[in-house]
Amino acid sequence: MPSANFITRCQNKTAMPSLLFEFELNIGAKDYADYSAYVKSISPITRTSDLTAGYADIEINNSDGDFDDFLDDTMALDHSVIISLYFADISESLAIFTGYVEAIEMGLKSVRMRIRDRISRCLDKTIGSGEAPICHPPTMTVPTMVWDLLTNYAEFDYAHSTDNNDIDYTSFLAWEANMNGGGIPYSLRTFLTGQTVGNILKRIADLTNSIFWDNGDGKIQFASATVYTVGSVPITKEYVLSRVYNCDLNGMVNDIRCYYNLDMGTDVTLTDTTISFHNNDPLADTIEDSNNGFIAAGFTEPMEIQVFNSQLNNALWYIQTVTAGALTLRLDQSNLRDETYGESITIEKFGYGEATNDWEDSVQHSRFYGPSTLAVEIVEEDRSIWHYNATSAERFMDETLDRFAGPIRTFTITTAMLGFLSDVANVETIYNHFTSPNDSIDIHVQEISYDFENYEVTFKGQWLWSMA
Amino acid sequence: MAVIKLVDTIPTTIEFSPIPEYTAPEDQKRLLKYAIDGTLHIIKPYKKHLYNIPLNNISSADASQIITWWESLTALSFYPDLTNNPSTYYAVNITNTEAPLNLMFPFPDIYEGALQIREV
Repeated sequence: MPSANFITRCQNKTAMPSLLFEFELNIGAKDYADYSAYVKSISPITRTSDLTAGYADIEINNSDGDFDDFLDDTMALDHSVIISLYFADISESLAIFTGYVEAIEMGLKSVRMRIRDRISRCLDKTIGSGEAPICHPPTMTVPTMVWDLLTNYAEFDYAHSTDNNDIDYTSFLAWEANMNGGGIPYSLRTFLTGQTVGNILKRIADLTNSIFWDNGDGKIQFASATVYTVGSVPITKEYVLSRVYNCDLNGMVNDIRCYYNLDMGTDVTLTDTTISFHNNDPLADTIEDSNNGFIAAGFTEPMEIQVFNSQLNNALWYIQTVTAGALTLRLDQSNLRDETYGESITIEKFGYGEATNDWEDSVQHSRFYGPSTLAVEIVEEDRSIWHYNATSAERFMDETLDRFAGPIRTFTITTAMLGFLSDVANVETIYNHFTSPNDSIDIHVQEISYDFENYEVTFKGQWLWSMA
Repeated sequence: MAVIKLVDTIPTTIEFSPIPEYTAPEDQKRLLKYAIDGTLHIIKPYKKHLYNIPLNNISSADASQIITWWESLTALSFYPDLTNNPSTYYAVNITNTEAPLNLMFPFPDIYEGALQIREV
C-alpha cells in the first residue's frame, strides 16, 4: 500500500514523478539493479479483468554493453523486471508492472525488450487429456481447486504464506472466505480433458463471479466481483482529463438456466490427514493410511486412482492390491516419492462406474430491467466445469443477474497521476460530476492502462444498477 | 577558469571547460494537463542527467586519464558548474560508444572530442 505522502503526491497539481526500471541480474535471485537512466521508451501497460496477458515493450540504452549478455547467455531471457512509479523526494515507489523478459531485439546501441507478466507464462498450459482427464471432487472447495490448478499444473509457487512469489496470499484468503462463506458456498466439479489453464480459470471466474488478475507486484490477485474495495481518493472533476460514458444493451443477461451435478457415476474417495507415501524401491511402492480406511471407503483391486493435495505425489497411479491400511502400486508403475502424513490428502478412484452422464436437474432465475423484447437468455451446461449443487448454481445466477441484468453502463476515465493508485477490481468513486442522485457513482474497474510517457492513466469501469 | 570537474574515487581530478557553443541541457521537461473543470496539472518528470560536452585543447595526460575512465566505466563525480554551484555534483559514467577524445589536428599532443556523461 502506498503511504499517505505518496497518495498526496499523486493528488498534487504539481508533481515530480519518475519511472523506476529495475532489472534482475540473476534469474530468481531478486537482485534488482536500477537501470532507470537507461530507459529510452516504454509502451503503455494494460491490464484487464478477463485474464488477458499483460505485456510491456521497453527500449533500453545499451551503449555501454550492459545488456550484451543477450548475445551468448542462454539464461539471459526470463529475468524479472519491475516498473514502478517513483517519487525521488520521498524515495518511495509503487510497483505498476512486474514481468519477465520474453524476447529481445538488439539494435546498434539499444535493446528492445518484450516483457510479459507472470500469469501469461502459464495461460497456455493444458490440463488433462481425453485418455487421462483430471477431475476435482466435490469435497474440494473452489479456492482449493484454483490453488491446485495454479500450483500443481501451472507451476506457481505453492507456499501458503504472504511470502508466496506468485500468488497474492492475502487476497487469496479474502477471496477464499467469500467463496466458501455467506451461507451459500460455491461448489464446482471439473472433468478436464486438455483445456488450457487460461480457459479453465476464466470459466471458474465466470461461474463464481470472480476476478483474477496480475497485480503490480507480479502476483496473481483474487477478488469477488461482488465485494467492493473503494479507492482511497474520490475522483472529482479536478483529476479527470477526459470522461466518456457508455450505455449498451450488449452484454446484458436477463435469464439463466443453470444445470448442476452432472452424474459421473459412483465415486470412491478418501480424504484424511493420515495418508502417507512410501518409496519401497526395489519393492512396489505403497500408499498407506494409518487410519486403515481404504477398504471401508470402497477401494478394490485393481484400480486406477488419483491423488490430490499432496506436495509431491499428485498424479494417477495404478494399484495392484488393497488392504485396509495400504494400497500397493503395480511394480512397473512404482515411482512414488516419500511423503509423511500430516496434510489433508484425497485419494480418489479415477473414472466412474454406471454413469448416466446426465444432469441431476437445473434451476432458472430471471430479471428484466431493460426492454423485455431484447432480453438475453443463457444456458449453463458446460460438461468440463459445472456447479455441483443447486445452491451453488443459484448463488451464481443471483450474482450474475445483479451485475448484468440491466443495460451495461461503463465509464472510461483518463486521469493524470491519481490513476496510478488504481488497479483492476478496484471500485473508484466518481464524485460530484453529476447532480443528485448521481453525484456519487461507484465504478468497478475492468481495464486499466498506465502511460508512463505521458503520465496518464485510463481506466474503464462498470457502473452497476441498484437491483434487489 | 575551468567550469567543469570530474573526480574519481582515488581522487584523481580533472578540471576543464567546454567549447563556447556548449549549453547545459535543460533540467526538466514539463507536461501540462488540463482537467475537465479547468484545473491545471503540471508534471515535471524527474529524470537522471545526461550531458554531451564538446571539448578541445585537452592535454595528453588528461586525455589519457579520461580515456582510461571511459574504458573501465569508472564511477565518477561530476561537477557541472563550478562557477555558480561549486558543491553540486552527480555520480556519473562516461558512456561514449567510441573513444571520447582524439588528437586535435594539427597538434601532436592536444586532444578534442565530446564527452557523453550519464548520471547513474
